[in-house]
Amino acid sequence: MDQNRRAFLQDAGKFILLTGAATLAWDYVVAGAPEQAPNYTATDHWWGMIIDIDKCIGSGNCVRACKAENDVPLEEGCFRTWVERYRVDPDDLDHPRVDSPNGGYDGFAEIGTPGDGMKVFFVPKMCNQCADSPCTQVCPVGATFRSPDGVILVDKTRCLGCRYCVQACPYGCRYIDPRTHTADKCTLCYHRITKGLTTACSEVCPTGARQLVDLKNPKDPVHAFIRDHKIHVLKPNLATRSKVYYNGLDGVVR
Amino acid sequence: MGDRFHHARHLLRVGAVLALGFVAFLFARSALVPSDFGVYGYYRAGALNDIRALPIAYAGRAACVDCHEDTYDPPEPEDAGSAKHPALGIRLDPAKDNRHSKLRCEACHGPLQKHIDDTEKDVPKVASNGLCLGCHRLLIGRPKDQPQVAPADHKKSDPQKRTECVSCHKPHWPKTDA
Repeated sequence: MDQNRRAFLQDAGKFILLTGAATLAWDYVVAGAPEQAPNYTATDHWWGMIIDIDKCIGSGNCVRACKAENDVPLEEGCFRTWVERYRVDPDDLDHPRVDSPNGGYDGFAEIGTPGDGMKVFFVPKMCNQCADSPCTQVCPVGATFRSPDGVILVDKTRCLGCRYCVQACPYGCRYIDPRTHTADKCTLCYHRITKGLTTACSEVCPTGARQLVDLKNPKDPVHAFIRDHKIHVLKPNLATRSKVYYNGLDGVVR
Repeated sequence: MGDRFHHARHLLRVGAVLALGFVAFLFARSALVPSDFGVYGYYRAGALNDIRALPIAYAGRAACVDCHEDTYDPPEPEDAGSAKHPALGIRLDPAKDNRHSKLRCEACHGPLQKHIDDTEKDVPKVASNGLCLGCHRLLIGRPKDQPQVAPADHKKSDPQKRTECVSCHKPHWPKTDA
């Protein structure tokens, strides 16, 4: 028996932490070649997100978790996800008042008075992971692209920082990282979802308003959810084929 | 004859410059474009691996429950709510489930992958009023089924007791009789 106590404890720890197939995959991840992990095939997945407006309480948990998980700078303007608060006067639907103090990172302070007749609701925003994404089409150096499993990613080693993609995104989801001067954006927690975890924002959402979905998995509850609810995407007129599906999205939301 | 050759030499010179330029272009291209560029599309295939290899901060509830099963599912108080399903071990009526049952651990305790790598590090923080009020402060726009409180009014009714949320509300079993 050449397995010593240390090796046994390591193996046992890994087995408890990550059972079965995940243990196998972990060895590849640690070895720096996660693509060769046996239990993740990119073409078997087509990732998207469900956001349920009716459940969003504006806690800002998702904004904080996203910044912590993805090392996003804390400065104003650098967000991979943020929460907007809409205040709509029912007599003037064309001019909703929208605020998002620090992206909702510190939560929201009260700005109205109860019974002032305004319709108020929270809208979490993020990269819409478009199937036909405008931002990847304009990149001159192939630094941003759609992965085989449908996630829009940025290759920081190739990005020149030309900002074409920042302007091309109709949802305002990209920013320039002030440390590297390269474009950055939501990766749909690609480093998590390819290991069987959910995104950081879905993980910490206290009401389950955000859910990662795999549209290629026939057992994913997303199919029933889209069938059973009145679903909308942002700016469908731009034909971006967004994969972030909103339930309860008000028509005034831009 | 000599004239024609003389003119051809001009063309050869131009051709040589062009050929040299083309060779220089091929050389520069092979040096500048990564070898795995274009395997899946107009991008560097290795970027997928680079992004997958980024470190994780939030470990996920499954990792927490491995060690802390009794914390997550503590001994039930008398008023725990409706009966448990005998086989599934879950509350039959989720509305009466007196737990923060929809919450994942790290929604309140913060990112804990470092704690999982080394249990001495980043010991989970405990609840503070600010943490509770982040979700439960009365705020226009919050869904009506979200339990909300106006701290000032709540304190007024019993100023002695109502200073710390957790002195009455157990964080994992937040409902009280009061």
